[in-house]
Amino acid sequence: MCLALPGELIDIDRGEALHVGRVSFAGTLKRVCLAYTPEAVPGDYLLVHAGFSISIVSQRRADAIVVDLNTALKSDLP
Amino acid sequence: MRHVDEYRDPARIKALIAEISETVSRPWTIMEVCGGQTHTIMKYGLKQILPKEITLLHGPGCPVCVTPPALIDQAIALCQQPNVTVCTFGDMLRVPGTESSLALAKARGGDVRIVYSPLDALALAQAEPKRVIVFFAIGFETTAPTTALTVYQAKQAGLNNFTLLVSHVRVPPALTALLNSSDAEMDAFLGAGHVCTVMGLEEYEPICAHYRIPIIVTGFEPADILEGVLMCVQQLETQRSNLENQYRRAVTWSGNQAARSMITNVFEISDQEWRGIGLIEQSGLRLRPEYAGHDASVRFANTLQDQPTAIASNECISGEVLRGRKKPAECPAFGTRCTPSRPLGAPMVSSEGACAAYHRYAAVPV
Ligand code: SF4
Repeated sequence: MCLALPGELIDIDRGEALHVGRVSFAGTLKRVCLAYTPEAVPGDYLLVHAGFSISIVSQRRADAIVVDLNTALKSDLP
Repeated sequence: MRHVDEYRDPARIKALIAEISETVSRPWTIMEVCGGQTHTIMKYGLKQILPKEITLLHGPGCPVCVTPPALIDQAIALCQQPNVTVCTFGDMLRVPGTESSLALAKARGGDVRIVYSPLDALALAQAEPKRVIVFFAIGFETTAPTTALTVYQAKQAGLNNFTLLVSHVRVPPALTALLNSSDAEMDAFLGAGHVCTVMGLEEYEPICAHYRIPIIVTGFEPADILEGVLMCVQQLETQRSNLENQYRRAVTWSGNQAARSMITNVFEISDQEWRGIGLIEQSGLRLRPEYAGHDASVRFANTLQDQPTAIASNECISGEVLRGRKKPAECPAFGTRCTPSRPLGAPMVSSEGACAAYHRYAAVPV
């Protein structure tokens, strides 16, 4: 239920009322609502839950070493 | 798959286990909050490879498991109404209500459809304007924004045949309830990574401070879980009780602001019954009054008020399992009268239920 999988945004469909794009999960394409990650661009990896992208997966944040709560944790690195 | 395979890398897993073993000096009990994490732990046999000092308790983070039987009974009653279709996630179908399940109701002619996303239910409402679509909206804060945006769209589009039967729950009040119980055994929590992807971290800092307990918000792959455990042990061994973020690639301090605002636009906080656990104050979400036209509990109030009161099965000990007090295998019905094909309780049905995880990965000694 709370499962969310990372997939690669392939393209964005501009013709829809909702902000929608196609996301590839290891080659399987799914239509995903991008309303919660409007800044996503093709090539980004998105965390997708129940047909909605809820986060852009960030390699930079993954690599960051949390040394200090006040700087690293609260900084909201993009 | 990128952002997945590297967190299943055996060398990385081995290095983390070695570091945990070097760091730990005495027994610690850590509760993973989310059922998705429980499944990773069982699937990869992480309990077996962790040093014996570490005990993992399984927490209440299985949305299907905590949905009250009374609401399942309501969904069953609604799917049998003329011109009403109940849509829900596949996991919900076989979960027993008081006497039946949505799967049984469907077999007997009820209109129940499985959807992958609430948007699929919205599309159905558009395609079938003569039917009222009831989306049975279960789930934690991860799922609430998907429901919220869908009902917001329905209201904007004037789709009056789209309604919600809401059973959304919130994690922080559940953690507080667990910590307030006199027999709380956990020394630290692995926080629910996808809930925090939406909600961010700020709600958890007061819990760490008040209860002096470390919370490490953690992801779902084996290396995530082990890094989360390592971060817990590092804190516990040095008497710290801080909030830390292991799942940095997805979770930021303030979470997903757009998703959080949509939740607040559409829902308000309410008290909520948790199956097997009881009422937890402020732990639920209900539709705001301006969405009453899309609220199945308001639209179908007459049908639902005739429902008999739900009676819990006295054999299923899911409440004990969900609070980490008992392991699934300690339930007398486990694997005998309760199996995935004939479940007595919700944790044996859901892909995030602890009983289903223990049953499925039974080859791994527990
Ligand atoms: S094994 Fe079945 S009956 Fe026992 S706690 Fe789990 S779901 Fe309930």
